[in-house]
Amino acid sequence: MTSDRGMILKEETSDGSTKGEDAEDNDAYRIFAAIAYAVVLIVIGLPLWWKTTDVYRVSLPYSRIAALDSLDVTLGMNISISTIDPARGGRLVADLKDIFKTSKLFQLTFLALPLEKKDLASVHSPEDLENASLQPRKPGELLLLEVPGLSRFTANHVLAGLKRTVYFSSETSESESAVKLSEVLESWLLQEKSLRQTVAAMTAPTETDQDRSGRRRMPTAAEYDIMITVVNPEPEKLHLNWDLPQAVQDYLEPLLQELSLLAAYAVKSQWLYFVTLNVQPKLVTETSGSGYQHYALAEDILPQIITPLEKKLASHVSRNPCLNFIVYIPPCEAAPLHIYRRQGMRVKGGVDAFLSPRWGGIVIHNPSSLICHNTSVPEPKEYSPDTAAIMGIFLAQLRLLMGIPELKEISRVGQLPLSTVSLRQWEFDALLRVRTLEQLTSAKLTLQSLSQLLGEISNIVINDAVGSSIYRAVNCVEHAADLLKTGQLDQAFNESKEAFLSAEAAFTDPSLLALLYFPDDQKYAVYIPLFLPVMIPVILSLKSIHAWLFGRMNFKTKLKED
Amino acid sequence: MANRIINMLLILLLLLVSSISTIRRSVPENFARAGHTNNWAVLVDTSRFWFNYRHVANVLSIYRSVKRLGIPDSQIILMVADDMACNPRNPRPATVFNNANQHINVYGDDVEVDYRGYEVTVENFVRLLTGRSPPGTPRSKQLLTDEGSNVLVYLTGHGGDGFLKFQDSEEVTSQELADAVEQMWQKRRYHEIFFMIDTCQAASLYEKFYSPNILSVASSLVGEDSLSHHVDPAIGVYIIDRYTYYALDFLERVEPDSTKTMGEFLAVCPKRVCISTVGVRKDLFSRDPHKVLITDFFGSLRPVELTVSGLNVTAIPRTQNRTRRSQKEREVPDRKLQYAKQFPTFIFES
Repeated sequence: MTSDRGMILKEETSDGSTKGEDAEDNDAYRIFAAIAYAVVLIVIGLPLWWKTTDVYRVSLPYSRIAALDSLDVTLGMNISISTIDPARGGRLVADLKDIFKTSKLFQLTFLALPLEKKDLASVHSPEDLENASLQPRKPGELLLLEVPGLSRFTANHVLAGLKRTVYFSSETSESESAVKLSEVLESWLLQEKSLRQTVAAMTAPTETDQDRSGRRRMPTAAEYDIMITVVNPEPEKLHLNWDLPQAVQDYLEPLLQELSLLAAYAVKSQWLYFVTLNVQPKLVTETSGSGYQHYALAEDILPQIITPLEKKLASHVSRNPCLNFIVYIPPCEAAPLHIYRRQGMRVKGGVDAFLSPRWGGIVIHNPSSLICHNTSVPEPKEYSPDTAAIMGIFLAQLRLLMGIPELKEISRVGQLPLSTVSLRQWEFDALLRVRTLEQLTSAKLTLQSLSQLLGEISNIVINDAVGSSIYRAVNCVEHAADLLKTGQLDQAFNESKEAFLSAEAAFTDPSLLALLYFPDDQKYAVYIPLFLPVMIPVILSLKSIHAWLFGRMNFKTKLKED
Repeated sequence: MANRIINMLLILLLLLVSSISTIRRSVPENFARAGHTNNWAVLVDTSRFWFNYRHVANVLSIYRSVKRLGIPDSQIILMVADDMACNPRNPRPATVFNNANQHINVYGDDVEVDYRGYEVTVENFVRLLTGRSPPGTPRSKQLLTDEGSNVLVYLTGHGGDGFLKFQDSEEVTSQELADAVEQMWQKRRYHEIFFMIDTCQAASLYEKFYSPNILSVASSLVGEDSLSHHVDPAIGVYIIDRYTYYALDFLERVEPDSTKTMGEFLAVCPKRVCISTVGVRKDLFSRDPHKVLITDFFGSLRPVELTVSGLNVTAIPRTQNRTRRSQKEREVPDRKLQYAKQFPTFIFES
């Protein structure tokens, strides 16, 4: 009807009315155009812009990571006590349970196992005890074995074995046994104080420091490099006849084999010639009461030996932490060279060696005086170093650097001496425990720091690799804590290592640096000049669109009513 | 008579005092126990072009001091645009001097620059500090510190209020620097940091730090300019900055076994010679600087423990040894001796 009217009116050609109709049409077209702009810009454009400028972020388990703070990390452990008299065993169990019930880190379960006298009938020496079949095999377990007649072997009341057993004498009274056993457990086998201090030093380093063995222990890593260096300052005068690769294989490899669960090791060796110590040792003559003329190195100048020597060692080629073991063989003119303590006397036992925490150790091996004073032999004099002595010192230093602490003396308690095997199994268990806790704590702290960083800066891209590393790390941390509680130490260690490595990979991913220089005010500064001029007419025209639409609807309803 | 007695007593007293003061030679025990195990240095020169010769001389002089006091090259990260020594405008090619006497060529022939030329960027600097380097970055370009490392960070160049200009094209703000150091702290990548900065309005760059264990010193406060020291007419440019000149003056008299303290170092450039005021920030540092040895940051003395005994390992039987050795002697050729390589990567490559 409108169009008819329009046509009729057009024929009548009154400018005003044609203009009116045209105006209405124009109005309609204008409003349609405004609607089209509004639809394209607001309905299609805005969501499209939002979606395309969205930073790709994988959703992260923030709540799980926050819950790690209150993760209950306790070490569950089964300790069996075998006594001949079951009643005594029961009382010992009760006593020890009482002593250890306040332990914050350990959940100890004491079991009393019956013991037959015939099991111990054929025992003639402590080594026989070691080979008996009642030794626990699972890492993390412990057996306290009562041995009647332990006094035949040793004067001590308690003897720590080479595997996972502690032998105690049946002649001592019960209370005394309980006290001694609890002391041995506390400071030798469980090392709870050291574990708690390690975790505290990692979580709050400004409040707690690492203890002595923690400062010495190499940082956690998946692989270590070991570099053995022989320093011969005057090779034209002293020729060393030493098969170093063979020595390493004979003495070092067995220990590294035992430690292979912890990390991989790459062992290399090198010889350095014409390198001196860069310090002046003092000459001590025969008359000063020590018996023979020798050279003295004070303990205070030992750090100054390491500093210039470090430049010559090729220890900085790979990213793995490197342990340096150096043998320094002084020339005959400067031999024998001994180290003097600060108090002015030498170390008992004639060992001239020192180690630097987290770095390695240096041994000063003097050529024998027979060879040096033998003037009939022409130069270069041949000398074969005492491999067993040098390697023994290296092994002792390696044990300390890898984290096996020295044990403090407890009266009437001894240990079976190590002969071929270089690691006691309970020492290895203790090392596994401390490394597991270290790795778990480190993974937890890394994850929490990362989640805080990624939560605060909403612009950082979190790609799939980082996301999957974070998920894997969180899963492994939770799983490791569960395994620790049930006492499965080796699996817990593997899970914690996986957690540690994944957390490190996520934190040090190079892609986390993208979009860093994009703060909010810069975002507004970029987008407002682009969008504001376009959006102002659209927003303002919304009012007229609304008015026109309602106007049409009112008109239509009016017509309907008519 | 009384006078003579008094004189003799005084002389005796003097002798006593002088003998006591010469007893100690080694590190005194009462210095605050340092808990660090190793030392690193990050030395950055953020400017390039010939007229910024003095910044290169600054950073290379600090590099020389730090190397002389014992930090090995593997633990020094040197970021320099390195366009001075071989610059066509350099009348003494292959040299960089820090003094008009031209006594010391601080460039030398064993300087090891880790980030040179256009690699000195804000991104690389932040990646270095936070440890987020792309895979394949060589080990000499990474800061492999751990929680026992004391790190010396030295920055020089052109700076302003709250920022430091990197090579005329970009800038790093003090907030970014503070955040990067906080990321280092979160991963426990340092034990203590000594932050030295020699630029204009340098104090603004350490204002925003919020991580613990940082001691900072700046050559000028906000609103002041750091000035250069003197011009070398033979080379034609200003050759060193004032603060670094006096700092070097102090460091030249430090030996690896020195007992000088950080407190003395922080007071090194008074206003009458430096013209700008040296700013110090100690509130984040837990120890008293007057009880901290200067070699804790500038030198590298590792802590040492005596080994008391070795393991009693049973020796391998002699017969086995001898057969193996005789076999080796038959087949061993002449061993070639060679100079140690500077980057012996072949050792750890399998």
